[in-house]
Amino acid sequence: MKKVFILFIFATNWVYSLVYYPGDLLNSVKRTQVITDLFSQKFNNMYSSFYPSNDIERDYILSRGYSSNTVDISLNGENIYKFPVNTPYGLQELTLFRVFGSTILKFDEITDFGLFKWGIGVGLAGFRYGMYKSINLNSSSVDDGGVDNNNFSVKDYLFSQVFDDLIVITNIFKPFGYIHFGLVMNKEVEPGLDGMLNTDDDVLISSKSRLYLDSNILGFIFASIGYNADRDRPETINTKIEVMSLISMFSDVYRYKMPDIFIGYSYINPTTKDIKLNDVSTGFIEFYYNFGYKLYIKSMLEVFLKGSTASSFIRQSFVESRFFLTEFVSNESINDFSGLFFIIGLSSFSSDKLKYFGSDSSSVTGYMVGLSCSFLFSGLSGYLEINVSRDYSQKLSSLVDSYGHTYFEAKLQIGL
Amino acid sequence: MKKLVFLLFIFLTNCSAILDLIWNPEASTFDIQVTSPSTGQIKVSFTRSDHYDVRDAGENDFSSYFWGYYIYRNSVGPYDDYTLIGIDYREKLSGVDIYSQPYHSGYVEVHGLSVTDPDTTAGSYTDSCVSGVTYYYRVAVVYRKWDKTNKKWENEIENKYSSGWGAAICK
Repeated sequence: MKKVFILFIFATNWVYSLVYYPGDLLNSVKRTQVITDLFSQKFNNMYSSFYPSNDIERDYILSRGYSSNTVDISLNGENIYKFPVNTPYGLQELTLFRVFGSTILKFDEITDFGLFKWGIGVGLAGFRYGMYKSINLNSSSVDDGGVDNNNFSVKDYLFSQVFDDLIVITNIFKPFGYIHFGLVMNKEVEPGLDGMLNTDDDVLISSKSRLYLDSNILGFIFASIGYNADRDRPETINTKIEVMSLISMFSDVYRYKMPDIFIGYSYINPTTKDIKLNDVSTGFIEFYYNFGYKLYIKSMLEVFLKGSTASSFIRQSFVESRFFLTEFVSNESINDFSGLFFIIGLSSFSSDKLKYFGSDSSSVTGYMVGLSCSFLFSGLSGYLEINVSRDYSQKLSSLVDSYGHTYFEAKLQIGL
Repeated sequence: MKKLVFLLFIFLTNCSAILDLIWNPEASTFDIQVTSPSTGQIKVSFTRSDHYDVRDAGENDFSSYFWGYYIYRNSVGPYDDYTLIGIDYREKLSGVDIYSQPYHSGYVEVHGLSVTDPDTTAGSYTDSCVSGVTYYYRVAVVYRKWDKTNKKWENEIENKYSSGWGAAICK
């Protein structure tokens, strides 16, 4: 069932037909939500960063990645191998990849107005999606002048290639919060039979810009909107409130010993120019807690409020734990830490779209396992993570097309 | 100034294109033309200027130098495995320089184990073929590593650029 479906979809796409594609890969509204959510998360991590004064604060920011104060550079790359796709030259197993990168500069105390300190931030992010075929170039008995024999490989791009870019200017009003003004540029290009981009046979399938506004009020109220100026209406809305920060304003409990609990609402209207789709609204609760640096737990429960025909009312739920394995650098200073962690997560995910990708049911369970290395050296911080997942809700919720396939992901983040 | 602003805008709004270069450095980047001009022959043509990046006597500027345009072929399909059949404009080294290392003295064309010296035409390779069969070709621009510290050739090679595929039915 799965193969037949995928064959149909991509065979029609090959000749640039406008067909209904149920996945997220070719839906620019969904992709806009994904890139802006990731950017918001990374900027908020920066906004929440501070220099720790004790072990409790250090463990809190280290667990959550709140350790970039002025500069943050991130790179996330994912490959999903063996996507069966029909091409004019037969059935091929392609690699579906997506890679995200962002660079954020933040100067949050440029001018002191007494009531607040004004600052500015500049952020750039890109998300590249696509599929390629890796082809082997094998050596043989050829007079090569006495050098070593080498086998090489080359990649040909096949089918739609997606380029999403985001540029954001941020006004910071510390301690009241910040406001992002952003522009998202979505572009989809068909590389043609030559498998190369930027050649004469490329076909521009679509190119579209959208506005993005996002705000953080008092550090615990968040609201973002993705706005389509042509249609004169919002396509995505995301609001949430961090409950424990609110409670801590009226409590003597030390904030960094408390968990983070977010309660929120999300809306998306994934209708594009050509395809009409249902609006979907969800409500969610997120929970984050760290036991020193030895154990970090995060979990989420998201329920459908409107627009879903899935059998379950729970859109996704997951529990993810990060266990400390070993310390690389043993130092008394709280500003120096480097450790290796093991990550494991279990999830469930529901969507009526799963059936288009070969699932018998509209609900699926998934897992994720990985290793990560976090470090903090006198102001320089970051982490490196590799993980493998299958049908993990955090992946399926942003790319439902990946159902039934194994993800290989690498993440790198460096902050200053 | 306008040009600078324009270039800055292009840079700022092409983050995803830069990510592509990082994530997919092996992507094919140049075209080749494949024709069958006469019975039993296929000609592979391409336009490159990498063969000027050769190591002349006494040079120690780069960590690799042009070695040859490697020609690959199969007769199955464009996305199947290819096998090296020859090298166009393969570097010919001779003599010794101040580092006691051989240096650029011309180019040869290689068909299997057969070598034609000199090769006077870069970007043109003629292959023999069986009439009626479709052949698929790719070209790799190969550089040979140079040890700048010890000032000597290494035997390791690297594929700097790869072509897309080209095909022709053999006359």
